[in-house]
Amino acid sequence: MMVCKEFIDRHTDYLDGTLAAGERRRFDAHLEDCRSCRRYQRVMTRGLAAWRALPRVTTSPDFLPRLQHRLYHVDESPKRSWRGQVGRAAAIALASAGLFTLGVSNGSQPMLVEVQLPPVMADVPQEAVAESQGSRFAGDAYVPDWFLVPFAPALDDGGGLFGQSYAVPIATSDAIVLPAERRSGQLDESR
Amino acid sequence: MDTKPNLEVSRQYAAPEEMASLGRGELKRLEDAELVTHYLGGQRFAFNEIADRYQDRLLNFIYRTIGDRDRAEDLVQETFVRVYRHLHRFDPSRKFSTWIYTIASNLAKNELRNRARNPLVLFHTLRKSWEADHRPLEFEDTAYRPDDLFRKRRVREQVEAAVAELPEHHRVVFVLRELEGKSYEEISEITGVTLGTVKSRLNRARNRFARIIAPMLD
Repeated sequence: MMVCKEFIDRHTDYLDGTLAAGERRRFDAHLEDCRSCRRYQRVMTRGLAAWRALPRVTTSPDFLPRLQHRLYHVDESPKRSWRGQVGRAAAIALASAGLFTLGVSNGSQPMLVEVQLPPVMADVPQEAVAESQGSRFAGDAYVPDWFLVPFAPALDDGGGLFGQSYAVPIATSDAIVLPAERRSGQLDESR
Repeated sequence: MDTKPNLEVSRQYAAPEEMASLGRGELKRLEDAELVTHYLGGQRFAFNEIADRYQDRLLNFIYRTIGDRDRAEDLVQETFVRVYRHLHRFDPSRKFSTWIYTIASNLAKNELRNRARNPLVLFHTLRKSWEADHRPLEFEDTAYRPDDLFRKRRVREQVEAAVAELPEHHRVVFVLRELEGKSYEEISEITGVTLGTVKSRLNRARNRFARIIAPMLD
């Protein structure tokens, strides 16, 4: 005895005729007895027939010419890319050869070009300088320690190449004048 | 004298010099695999015959899967471009139609996924469908009376809407089976799923389809 659930679950096999003869007879017998499954079978058959009867669409008249045009470009593109690859390889080879030649001719030393620049001369009247800066710049301009960035401190183990404390001045335009004892590097901690 | 080339059962590609040049009429009589062989043998017209043979079939398949006719035509073009590029890789032990449908099916699935991610594309598609649905009745078949026309269109709309409601992976299987008449084995190969999954998806798709259209057809 078949139940409706089995009929629905295996309906595809029944519809497509892939059931064995004995199974098919069971399905037929269930359809005879079950009104609900008969309705299901009817809706399915009519619905699928309506679906298959939908008008077929056709490609537009210019479909094949457009396709031929695209295929023509497909044929062309590998040639183009082959040429491009050869061109790129040639350019890289040329650049490498040039760099190698330069390296050999200079004995693997980097090329240094010495440029002589004329000295920069400031031409500002003394009165104007005195007026704008006042007594602040009466002494020597001094860059304080805390404005200096130590150069490679990790490598500076004391007494090595970096034993001298190299420093890069960050700001020198607004230099501050400090007393002579501080300029010598001896900080007065008591202040 | 028979000019048809002697194609072995193994369908190995013949060398170009062994190929006899065939006229278009003769190309039409060849099997798909033979056309591929001839194309690879240097006969350019063989590809035209392949395109001619499959353009409408693929268009209907993609159109019924994605629901946008213009985009479907673009995707059919793309299918042929891919076939053209990779024809030398086609395995002659496989069925050519299965191979070309696999390419078309993948393009259709990608299109549906992209559309799901891009609401603007979805909007354009819906608008196109709306415009198509609201065409005046007089442009249709005038052999029917207006009430017949109305009913016919209504059923068509319902059936199309029912298929459009199916989940993507169910719809592809449904269209391949019900529209293209593909066997379970072919659908399994095209979609890359097992035979059992094909049956299960088809059964679910049909079940859902019947439930949606039942009120209309009772």
